[in-house]
Amino acid sequence: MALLEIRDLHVSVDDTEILRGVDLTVPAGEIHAVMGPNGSGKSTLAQALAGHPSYTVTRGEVLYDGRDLMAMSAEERAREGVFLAFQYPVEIPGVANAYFLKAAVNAIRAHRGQEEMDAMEFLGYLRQRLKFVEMDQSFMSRAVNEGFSGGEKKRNEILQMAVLEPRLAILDETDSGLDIDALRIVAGGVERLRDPSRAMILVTHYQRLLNYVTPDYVHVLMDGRIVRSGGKELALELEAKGYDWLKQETA
Amino acid sequence: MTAPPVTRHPVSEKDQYLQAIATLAGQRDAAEPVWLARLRNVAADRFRRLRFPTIHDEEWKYTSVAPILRGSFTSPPGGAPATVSNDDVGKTIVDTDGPRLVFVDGRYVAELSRPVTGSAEMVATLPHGVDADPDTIEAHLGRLATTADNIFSALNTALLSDCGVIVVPRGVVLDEPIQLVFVSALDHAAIAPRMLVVLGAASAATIVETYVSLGSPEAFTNAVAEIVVGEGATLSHFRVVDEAEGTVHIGRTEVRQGSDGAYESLTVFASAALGRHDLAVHLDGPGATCTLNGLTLARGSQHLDSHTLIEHAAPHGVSRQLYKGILADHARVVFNGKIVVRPGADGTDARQANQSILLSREATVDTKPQLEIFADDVRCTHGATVGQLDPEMIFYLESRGIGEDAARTLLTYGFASELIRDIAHAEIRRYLARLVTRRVRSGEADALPETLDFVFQV
Repeated sequence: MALLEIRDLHVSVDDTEILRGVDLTVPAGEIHAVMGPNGSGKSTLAQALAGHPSYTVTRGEVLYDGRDLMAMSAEERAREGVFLAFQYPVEIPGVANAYFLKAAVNAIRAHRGQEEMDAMEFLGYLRQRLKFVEMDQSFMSRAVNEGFSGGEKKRNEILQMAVLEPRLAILDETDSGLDIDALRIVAGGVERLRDPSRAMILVTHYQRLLNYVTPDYVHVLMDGRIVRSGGKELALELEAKGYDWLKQETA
Repeated sequence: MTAPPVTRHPVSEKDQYLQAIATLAGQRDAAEPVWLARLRNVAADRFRRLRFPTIHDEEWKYTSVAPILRGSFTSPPGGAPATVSNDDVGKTIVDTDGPRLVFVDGRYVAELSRPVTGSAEMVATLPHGVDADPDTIEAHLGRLATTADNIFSALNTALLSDCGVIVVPRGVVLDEPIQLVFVSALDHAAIAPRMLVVLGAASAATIVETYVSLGSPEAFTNAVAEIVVGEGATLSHFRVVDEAEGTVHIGRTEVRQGSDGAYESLTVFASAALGRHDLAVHLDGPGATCTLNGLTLARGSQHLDSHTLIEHAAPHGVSRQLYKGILADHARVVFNGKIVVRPGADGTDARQANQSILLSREATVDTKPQLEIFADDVRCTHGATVGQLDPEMIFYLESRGIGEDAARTLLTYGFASELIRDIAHAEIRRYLARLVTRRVRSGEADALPETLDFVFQV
């Protein structure tokens, strides 16, 4: 069985239906790109999978490792290995990055019945992971995302992914707003985390990120449904032709 | 506050205190200076004439002192003082080897105290202490915390006996914080803590004033502090009220600053069933600066009221004020921040902010800025915000595996930490981080460590 199976998923926000029957299967070890025009429901899919309380599932199901994902609370999903890299990472004033990460790691370890990491052990681990995203250690004593540039926030998301080692990672427009150096660093971090036991979903508007990270499959989301799936060449086709031709084709 | 007329309440409300005042008068040391006896007598006389405030008095409209009038507090506790060990004290205050004066139920306890090293002076009992530096004490004691229109200060002064006095001579810079610790241990005791801090010109010091309880006595603490910051002197002042939850705490702090003096305070109001703190800072000399920070942590049915007054009386004064409140359950918090800019105090720059977080629907905050400006070229701003924890922040933490209770605790701590993270003295910072962590912890968050201060050690 695939790690993630989404079947006929309908999701509403404030009584407005955004996802209208999404079917998507992502096995462990694969990277899938979900592309689509603005307003197609990409971020809704990402947020709903992470368990944001504003998104209501009205129909369909999501199986994660064979279990009903939508029945789990947000923190339970995270502890079971689901990770969302936010499109707009939230600033948490007064809570240092290092403390936040340590609390997260230990919450997840406790859930798995593992021993807590002490401060020294954690710092060693953190230093090693910081290299994945070429981040300076000074970021760790700063408040979570507070005063970070757009690129720094996105790198911080990838750092969190590297530290938490999820089984299913969903990256919501992690490439948007990045300059070319930041994009290279973020992509490098994603590549380093490619693993036979890990599935990744890259939600993106542009093909740009896919120059650096090669997806196994590309899906196009329009009007709340996956309207086409293909290999990495589909991304290039979208880049060349835009989304309009698909709209006409599927209308 | 205008002087209220003759007693309207039944005399019995004051009887217990009047008796205590009379007892104390009978025990006086014959050697005590005349001015000290006069100071007490005048205060006793005023206490007799003044009445306790009611919510019909503008300055007390949010806070009823009825619990003090109803409570059967005895003052001052006679007989042997409660037995308090060094360990008991160490656990409740900033744990350093530095100098400290410890008072238990209003009485100075030499065995628990440690002298200040170097050239500052520290005395704890009157009248004997008066010999140490009679002129300085006479010049300042009772001059700032006047009793003409304040019944609580009148009562405190009428009962004046043991008093923490710190005198830092001109040019002396003390690196080590000096602690003044006021412990309440006896149930139903009315205690009248008193302190006087005088910083000579160009001196510098850090003072930590702590009110704590041993056990859970229901006491009435009526504290008065007078502080003089000399020309070009720098005082960093921490005032922490962490007494038992049944305590009634009335506190008054009066600060006078000379030219170019700098006064910085952090007031942490964490306990008391009913609490009121009046902090008045008078910037008397040109170029004086003050930073008044406050953190009020209220839960249950606590009622904590902070009144501040910043008086810009000379040109080019700078004042900065940030008071934060964290309210849970049915708690009520009051912040009344008054800034007065006197004629001639041109070029004054005053900023005030009050921020509150309500953790429950039943908590209430009353916030009231008052600006009175009579000078030119003045910059005066104020702002107040009241909010809840941001659900997007909670979700962000949950999406990383942190449980809801722990997420709320972390965010609440984060809100408070702005006032703590930059404290230069590591022991004071850790002490306050622990205190705040203990107070903001909820539910599952018990799994969090004793202090969230890990933050600062990376």
